[in-house]
Amino acid sequence: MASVQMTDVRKSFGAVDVIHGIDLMIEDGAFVALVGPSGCGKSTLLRMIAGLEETSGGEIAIGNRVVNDLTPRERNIAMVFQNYALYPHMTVAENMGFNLKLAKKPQAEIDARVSEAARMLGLTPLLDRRPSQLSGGQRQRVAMGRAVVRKPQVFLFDEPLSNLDAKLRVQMRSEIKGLHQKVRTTSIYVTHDQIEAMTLADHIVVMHGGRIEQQGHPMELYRRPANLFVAGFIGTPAMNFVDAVGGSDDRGPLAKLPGGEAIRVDGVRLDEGRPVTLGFRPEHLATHGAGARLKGPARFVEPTGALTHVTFDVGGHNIVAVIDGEHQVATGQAFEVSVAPELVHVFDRQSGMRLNAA
Amino acid sequence: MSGFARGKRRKFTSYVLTYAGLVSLFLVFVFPLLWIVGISLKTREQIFTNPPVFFWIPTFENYVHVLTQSDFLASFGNSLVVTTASVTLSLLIGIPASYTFARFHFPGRGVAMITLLIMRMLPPVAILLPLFVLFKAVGLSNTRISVIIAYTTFSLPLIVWVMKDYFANLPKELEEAAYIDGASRMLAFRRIVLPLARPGIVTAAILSLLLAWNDFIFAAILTNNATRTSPVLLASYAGGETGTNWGAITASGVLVVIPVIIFSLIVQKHLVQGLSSGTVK
Repeated sequence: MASVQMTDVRKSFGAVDVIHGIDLMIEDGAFVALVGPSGCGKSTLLRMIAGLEETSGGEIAIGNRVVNDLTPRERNIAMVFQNYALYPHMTVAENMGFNLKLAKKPQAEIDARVSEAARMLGLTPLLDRRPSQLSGGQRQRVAMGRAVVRKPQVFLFDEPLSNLDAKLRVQMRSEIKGLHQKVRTTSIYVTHDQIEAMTLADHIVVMHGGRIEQQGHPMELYRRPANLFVAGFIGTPAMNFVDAVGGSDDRGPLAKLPGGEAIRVDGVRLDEGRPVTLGFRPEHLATHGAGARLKGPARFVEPTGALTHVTFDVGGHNIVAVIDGEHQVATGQAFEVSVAPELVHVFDRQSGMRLNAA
Repeated sequence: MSGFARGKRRKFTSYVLTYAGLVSLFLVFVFPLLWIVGISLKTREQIFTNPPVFFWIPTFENYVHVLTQSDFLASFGNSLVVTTASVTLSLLIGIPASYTFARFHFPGRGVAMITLLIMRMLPPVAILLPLFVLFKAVGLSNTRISVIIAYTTFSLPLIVWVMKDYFANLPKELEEAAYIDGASRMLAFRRIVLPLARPGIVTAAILSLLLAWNDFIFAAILTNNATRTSPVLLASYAGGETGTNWGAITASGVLVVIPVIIFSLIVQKHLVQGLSSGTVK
C-alpha cells in the first residue's frame, strides 16, 4: 500500500492541453473517486498514474518514489479496465496468474494466490473457464481478481461498472466496496456516475476541463458545493438553479426572484441588487414546513414508488421537487413547497462561486 | 388446405431450392478437379476416346510415369523449398511490419501503405524483367533464392494489408493490461497479440502460399531446368514432339494439389473467427 501524490501534473496532446496542473494528495489506504463529465481528463489522469500515458509536466509519486519515468511494470499498480480486457486465450486461472507468472513466481505460489483471490471473489468454480464462457458480472470479477492477486501498492479502476446493467452495477458496487474494506489497498476509481463516486469513495475529486473543481468528503461536496459546476454535478436529480438579486430586510439577507418572491438565505451577506444564482436541491423542497414558499402549476409528475418527482413552474423556471410518494399531485394542479434558509445555496452569478459561508 | 400444411410445403420447397443451389455450386467448383483426376487415371487411348468413357478400370501408369521418368520429384522439391521459404520470410517480415502500421503513428504511414498496395497492383510482368536483370547482375539468376525473393516481394503487401486490419481490430486494452501485468512491449506482442492474431496469420499464410505454389511466370523466367518449380515442369508437358502429354499433366496436377489440400485441412481449424470474443464487451 502507498500514498499517491501528484504535483502540478500536466498533459498535452500536441497543442491541446487536456490536464492543466493537477495537485492531489491521495492518502495511503484511501478510496478516491475521480468524477466528472466525459472529456474532463479523469481517465487520462488515471492512465498517467498507471504509466500508460506519459506526463507532459509535473510529478507523480507512488509511495515516496517519483514514477514519471517508470514503466507500468515498475510502478507496482493494478488496473481494472472498463471493458475488462481479459486475455481470451487464457483460462480464468491463467488470466489471474499471468502477472505472477511474468514475475517468475514459483507455480505453487501462483496457484495458492490465485485460489485465495478466487475464493474471496467467488470465482473458484470458474477457474478453468475461458472469458467467453462467463457473464458480464463474472468477467468483471475476474478482472478484479487479476488486480487483487498481485497485491499491488495501488488499485486503479477505469469506469469498471459502466458495461453492466443497472442491477448488476449496484451489486458489483457493493462488492468493490467490500473488497476495499478487506484489502485496504489505496484505490483510485474513475467514473462519470456521481452516485458510484458518492457510495464508494471516502474522498471525491470533481474534475472539469482538465482541472479539479473541488475535492473532499462526499457529504462535504453535497452539502457545500464550491461552485455552480459541482452543485449541478453532485446530487440526483440535479440541483435547481434560479437567478435572483440580493437584498435584505430587518430579519436578515434575502434574494428576490424575478417574479417578486423573496427567498430568505443564510450564512451570506448580500448587497442590494447583486446578481446571484440560487440553488436548492429537489429533496430539500418540502410540502410541509417553514421557510420561503415556492409555488406554481405542476408540469410533470413522475412517481418512482417511495418518492415522486414533481416538475413545477416558478416564474418561467422549471423547478424539480422530490416529495413523499404518498403525497397526491396531479399535472396542472397548483403545487407549493417550502425551503429552509440554511438549505438555500447562493452563488455569484458572474464567477459561479459559492457565497454562503461554510 | 390448412395453414400448417401450407407452411410445411413451403418449407419443403425452400429446402429443395437450397440444396439444388448448393449441389450446382459444388459441381461448378469440383467438376474440373474430378475431371482432371479422371483423366489422370486413364490410358492415352481412353483419354482420346470419343465419346468419352465414363466407366473404366483406373490405371496408375501416368503417376508411375511422372514419378519415375521425369523431373517431377526434383521440381516438386523446388516448389516445396521456395514456397516454404517465401511464406516463412513473408510472415517474418510482414507480421512485425503490419503490427507497426496498426499501432504506431509515424510520418508517411499512409503513403507507405498505399505504396505497398500499388506494388501489388502492378502486373507481375512489369517487375519481372527488372528483377531478372537485377538477379543476373548480382549472380542470382537461375537460383531458388531469386524466386524466393520475388515471391516475398509480391506477397508482403498482401500480408501487410490483411494483418494490419487484424492487429488494429484487436483491443488495445489487452496489450495495456499485459503492460500493467508486467510485460514488456515485445513480451505482450508474443504472449497476447500473436496468439490472438492466429486466424489472421493463417489467412495471410494461405494467401502467400497459394501465390508461391501456383506461380508460373516468375519461375519460368527466373529458374532453369535444375531449379524449376512444378508449374514450370507441368507446362513442359504441353506441346513437344509427341504432342501434349495429358496423362502426365493431369497426374502431376493432382500430385501438386495434394500438399495444398493437406495444408488447408491442417490450418482450417485456426481460421475459426471470434477467438477474441469475451475479452472486452
